[in-house]
Amino acid sequence: MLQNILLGFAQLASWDVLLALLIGTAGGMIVGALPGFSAAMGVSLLIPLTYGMNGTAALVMLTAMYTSAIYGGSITAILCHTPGTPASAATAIDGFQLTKQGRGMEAMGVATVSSAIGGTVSAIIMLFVAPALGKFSLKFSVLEYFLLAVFGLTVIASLAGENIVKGLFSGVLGLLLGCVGLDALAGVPRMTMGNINLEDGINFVPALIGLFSVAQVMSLAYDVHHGKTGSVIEDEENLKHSRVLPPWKETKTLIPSQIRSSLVGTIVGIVPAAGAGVSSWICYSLGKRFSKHPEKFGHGAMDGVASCEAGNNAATGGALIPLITLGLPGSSVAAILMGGLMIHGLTPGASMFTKNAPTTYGIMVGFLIANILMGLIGLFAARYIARVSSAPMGLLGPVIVCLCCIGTFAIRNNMFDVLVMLVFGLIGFVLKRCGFAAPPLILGMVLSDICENNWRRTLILAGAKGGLFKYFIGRPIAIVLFLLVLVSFLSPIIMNAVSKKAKSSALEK
Amino acid sequence: MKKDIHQDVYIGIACAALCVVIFFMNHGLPGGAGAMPLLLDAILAVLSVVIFVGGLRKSKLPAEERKGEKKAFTLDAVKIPFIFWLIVAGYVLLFYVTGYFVATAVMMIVMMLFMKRKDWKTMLIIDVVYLVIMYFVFVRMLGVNIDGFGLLGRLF
Amino acid sequence: MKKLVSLALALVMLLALVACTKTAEPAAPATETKTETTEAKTETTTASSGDFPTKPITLLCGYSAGGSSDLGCRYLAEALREELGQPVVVENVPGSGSWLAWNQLLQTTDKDGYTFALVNLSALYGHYDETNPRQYTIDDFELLANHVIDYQVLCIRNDETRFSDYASFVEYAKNNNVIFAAATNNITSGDGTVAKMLEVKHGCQITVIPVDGASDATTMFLAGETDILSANVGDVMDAAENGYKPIVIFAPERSGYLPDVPTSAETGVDDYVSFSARGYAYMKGVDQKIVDRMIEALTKAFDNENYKKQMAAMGAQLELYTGQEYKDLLNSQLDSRLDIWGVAK
Repeated sequence: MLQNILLGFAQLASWDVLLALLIGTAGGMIVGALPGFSAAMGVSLLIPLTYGMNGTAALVMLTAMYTSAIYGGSITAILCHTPGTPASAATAIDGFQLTKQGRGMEAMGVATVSSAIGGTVSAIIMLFVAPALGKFSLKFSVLEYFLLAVFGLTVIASLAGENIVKGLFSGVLGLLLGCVGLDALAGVPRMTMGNINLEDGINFVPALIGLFSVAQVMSLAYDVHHGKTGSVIEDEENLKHSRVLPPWKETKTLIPSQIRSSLVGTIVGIVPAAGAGVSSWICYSLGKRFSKHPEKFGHGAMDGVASCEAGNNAATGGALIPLITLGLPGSSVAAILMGGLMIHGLTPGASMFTKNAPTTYGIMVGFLIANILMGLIGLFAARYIARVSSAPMGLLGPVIVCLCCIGTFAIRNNMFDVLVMLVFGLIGFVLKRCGFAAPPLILGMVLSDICENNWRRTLILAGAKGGLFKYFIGRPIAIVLFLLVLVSFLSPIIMNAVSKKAKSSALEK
Repeated sequence: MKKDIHQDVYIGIACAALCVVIFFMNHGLPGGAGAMPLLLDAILAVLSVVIFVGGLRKSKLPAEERKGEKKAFTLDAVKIPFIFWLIVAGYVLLFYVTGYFVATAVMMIVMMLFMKRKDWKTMLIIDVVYLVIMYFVFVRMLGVNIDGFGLLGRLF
Repeated sequence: MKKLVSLALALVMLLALVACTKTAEPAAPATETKTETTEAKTETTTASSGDFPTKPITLLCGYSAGGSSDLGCRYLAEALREELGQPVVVENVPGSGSWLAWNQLLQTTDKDGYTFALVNLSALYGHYDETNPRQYTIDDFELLANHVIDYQVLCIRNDETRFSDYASFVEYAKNNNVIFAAATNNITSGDGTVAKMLEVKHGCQITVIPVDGASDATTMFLAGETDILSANVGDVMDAAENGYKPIVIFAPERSGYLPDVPTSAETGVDDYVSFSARGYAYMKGVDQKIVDRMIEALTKAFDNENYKKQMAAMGAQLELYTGQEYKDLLNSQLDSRLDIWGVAK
């Protein structure tokens, strides 16, 4: 296998592949950063353009774009609270707070390093373990996907912000919004109001852009009319001491989060349908749970930024594993990448490691280097890019709006999506004013289909195999996941009870 | 002393109303398709009641404890963002009439003016550079048909 | 000033990207979009077909970039460009099983012959879908030519012990419940119809699990969750490497790609024929001279060596049908499905 890896490196030793790598990485960062443009969009628009390039170069460029777009999203998430891609929505929460405190550049530095770590870890895992892991992902079927989605849902509670009840309401509303569209199993239109554009459901990218970006610019408008005519930065003091990374003392405390998120992220990525977005939420929530200062989360915790960004980039490598080994995409962007593979005559599956092994390893090595390169470019450019946050809101806001419009349209050449974005902008604003958190809404929308469809499929499948319980017992992975769900669900309740007891017994003393 | 009803009471009522609407949209769907939406709707209904009751309880709190309360829908808080939203909505609708490029050329300036900018030179430069980049990247390179409709659709 | 510098940097990056793609295959589409000459609904016809086309043509593809339908369109676009002398630009309008694209074609596009679309059998079935009937039927389209026929096959895993061919499978399924994955379970799904056919014509006991697509169905099959796989020839080109094999093809003749697989008639079990057909169409109302010119160009493009090679690599079987033959081909499948599902015409 080692010689395959060396073969892979050899593939990179040609100009067109290296150039493709560079363009994919740099281009991905830009695409990811621009609000309205997501990784999915960048990759799908790029695929027809690669048609004519050599296979290795094309796929190196596409996978590089995937990972660096997921990273790029953090740039605007941190600096303008407008996540450049859905996977950076979690980063926006703490990242923007840090920007307001004048620590935007440090946050970017942390995001860069974390993303690079996450991506590189997943790339290494992919390189060494892909074929074996491929077989592992085959063991995941409908019940496992369902349980994983439920696990993702338990994370909602930790994202609810100050009012748990309202946060839950957001989450359940998100699940409901995810039900809009043609029922996957019966083909019946649900809540589509007769509109054909809703048959595939509310596309969550425009919804996210509306909820985060449009709503954000609306509130910028409010700020401008109330005297804050400068930039989003509130605490100009910190700007004077700006550095790209926080001091080593602080940075090293982030390492455990980054490693944990990288590993969790890779695994979440491997599971089909759960991609960088779901991974970022799960890792953010885990980061909060394991943090020494969970109360800081939501108000500018560097740890929050580190966890999400490592998590979402790790998922990119993870998602590529079942894609390459089985033709089973680990995320929605990976599904698009599958088209890229096919366009270049590469059929995912066993042949990738036999007759196409040199190309495959070339792609995997390219992906590894792309992550490292992305980290370096990011660190170098952070200083300059962070200046964007110093731009006056009055100029930045309108540009963001225009970008969002064209980006949303470009997803599927459909103006309806732009209208969805508009509507969700208003919804986002109303939700915020009434105290409902937005992240649970998005998480609910993303997980709704995975949850429901796989549950119903499980019922059908288990029914034909002798009953749900019997089916469940025979699947060790499902049992483990179920226990994880229980732990995730009960632990805050238990911890709450435990700490109350500790407090009351301390008082008694 | 006038009883100050906490806004959560109204919010709770609005949520409950939403639940009713959702119920009517989903009941009677064939094939088990309505099961999940109705289940979720039931949960939302319960949560609405909790919010409503919470609002009632907060209404009864003495004035000092309620000092930090943020009101959701004061005219001041809502007016400007909503007007901005209307401007964006107008911008989107303008695509149908004049196409993306003309609409953006005009509305970007309008939005910047609304955001109280007065530095015309910078505004115009940004506007033009933006349009040029978008045209090259999207229409020429990527084949996205954003300017394909509207009377003045095609610029070049 | 700083803003200008960062914008300039962005511009340089983008121009580099443009430069890179321009040095790539010249077939990368130069995009010119269709002009809106008048309001969309008026019927405009261009004067003489001798001049057609004088500007680029748009091909609407109702599936996302990179899928097999999209690839077929792009390969055709390249070959057609040589015939017509004008670029053919593929525009992806995915959604609702290609209906977003078809609605766009039939409702809002000018009938000037400069836009056509990929059509497949779904355009036919939409009207009969009980849960979501479509208002358009095949008569609303002006069929041009068909280029791909992809027959359906049934596959079993190599280590399957309960049955070894079509006949033994059908026997087994009569007495034992068999699990089957299909995209949806109604008349619009080819796999779903195969399952229904087995139930109705042979009395097999089938449990159908609705899945999102061919790759999900294949994965469930490989993992051992389903008992048999229904797919198209194009999807199973690498079956041997992945440990499974087709046991029957629902076609009148054996496929060149799968020469060892018997047809349904050869197995003696039934003579069921099922395929997906991909072709191209205008909306009704385009000037007849333009229609004829287009059919002529398409026919020649289908003969293009490069095109044939690319399609073969995808496992697509090329059969040319035009005009009335095309319509009859589609109607034969429609009648067959209506019969199986028990729906009146």
